[in-house]
Amino acid sequence: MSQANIIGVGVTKFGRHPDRTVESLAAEAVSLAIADAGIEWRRVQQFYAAHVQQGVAAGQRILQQLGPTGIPALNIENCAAAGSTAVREASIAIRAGECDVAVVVGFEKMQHGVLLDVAPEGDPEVAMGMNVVPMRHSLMGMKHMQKYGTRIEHFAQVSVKNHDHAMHNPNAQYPKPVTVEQVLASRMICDPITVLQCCPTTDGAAAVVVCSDAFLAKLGKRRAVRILGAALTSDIDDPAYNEQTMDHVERASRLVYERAGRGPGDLDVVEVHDCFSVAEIVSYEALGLCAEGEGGRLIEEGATRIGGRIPVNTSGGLLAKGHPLGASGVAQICELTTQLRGEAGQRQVSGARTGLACNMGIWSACVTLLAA
Amino acid sequence: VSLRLFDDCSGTRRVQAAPGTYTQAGVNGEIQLVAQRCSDCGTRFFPARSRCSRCFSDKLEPVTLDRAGMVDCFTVVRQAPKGFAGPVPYVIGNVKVDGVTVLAHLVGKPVEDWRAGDAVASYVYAICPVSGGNKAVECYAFAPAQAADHQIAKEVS
Repeated sequence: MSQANIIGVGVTKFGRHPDRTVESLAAEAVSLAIADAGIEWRRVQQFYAAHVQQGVAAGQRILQQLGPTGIPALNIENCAAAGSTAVREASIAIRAGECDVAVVVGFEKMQHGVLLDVAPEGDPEVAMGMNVVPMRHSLMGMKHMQKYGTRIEHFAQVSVKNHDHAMHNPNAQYPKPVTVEQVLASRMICDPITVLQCCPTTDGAAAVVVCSDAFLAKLGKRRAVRILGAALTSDIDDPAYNEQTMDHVERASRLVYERAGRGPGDLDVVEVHDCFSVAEIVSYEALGLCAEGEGGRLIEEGATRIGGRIPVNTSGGLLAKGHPLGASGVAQICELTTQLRGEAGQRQVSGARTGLACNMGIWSACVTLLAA
Repeated sequence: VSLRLFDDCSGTRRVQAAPGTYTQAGVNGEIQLVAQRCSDCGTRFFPARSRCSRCFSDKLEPVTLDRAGMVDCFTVVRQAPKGFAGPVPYVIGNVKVDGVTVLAHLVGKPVEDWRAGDAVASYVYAICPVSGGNKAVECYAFAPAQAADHQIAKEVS
């Protein structure tokens, strides 16, 4: 069975693009990825469009911009995990022999302010004020502090580190340093999460070109990165309905480690879904980067900074790079590909050979393991 | 316990956020949550669902929960989400109650006084609109447990 290989990546500037359409952002990312792969657009056999709120047939609208070639176009919505879900779908199609070359593009143009309309209209939780976006993370953070003695400073340090990393990412939305004091003094949204521990809303797009072993051999390309495994999980709706955990991340990572024959100790660089600061700390534990309850200590020791034992979110993460919903999962894989090729410039993790991306949506987690 | 019952929301229309999720309120606003119990495996759920998530049985019967619970963890919401007309800040917590964990408003004492492990009991609660609204949202909530709460729970059931 063929493996799936990433041979091209493309990311637009993340930020506000009031004068551009989402189709043009997505087309830019695809064009960059096609150029990076060094292939012709007409070689692409399948097209995956990952987004959350960009309307009906957004993928087909993008194909109109790029030159319609009649290939299958699939629109994938999986909340903020749409991007990596689409990359996983493309890799499944390639491994199944359904196609040799696929393009995945994730994209989003978002409104300012808090994420809206995540609950269906008339949901009782909305009127009761229980559908607050960071709430699950807030409760998880409060629980982590109670159970393990994690401090609010630990959560703040996630934002500080990721902003520092973003300084070296030209595509990041907020390449500006922040201090622990500034993070903690910023407006409290939902305890213990302040506004500087919430990802921004963002416009942007990211794309990858994925191909089979046979196509790669014909191409003779040496900068390819292999997808060693990709796993998608959703929540287990057990009787402890409101338990706030990242069990879905843990299960997805276990599946990926098993399939790839690798473990957390083999990882050189990791991108996690830091939609809120708490998520990064809890992800460290769910992915096995440290023991349960040790996430606060891991950030405090600087282990997850570039230059540390296991650098996390070298791109700046969702907190500082930005979070265009459908694009984020693809952008994580673009960052890892860039790192594993040794092309990340000032934010390069030296000698990085193996990387892991953890992308989450509401009630879903998608983990992807990549190797140079 | 000083609860914001409907007498506090003058000039507003009452709307139940989640009808059928609790029993009729007693004189002091005491309610029991109406959960589900799987007749095949005994697992309990709140809120209700179509199938038992443990054994996929569709034999789910209503069961009223004891009123007494304990706060497992909580957070203070300081920025109102879209669709919420009440005042901020407010407290939302996970309450362990009679074999299930329920996400609910924690009311009846100052926001800063809540702690994990607090003993609570279930009450009906009104979210009064802060300005311009004419719709009070009635829902279930938990407030600090009173000595009498356990007795009331038995009488109601």
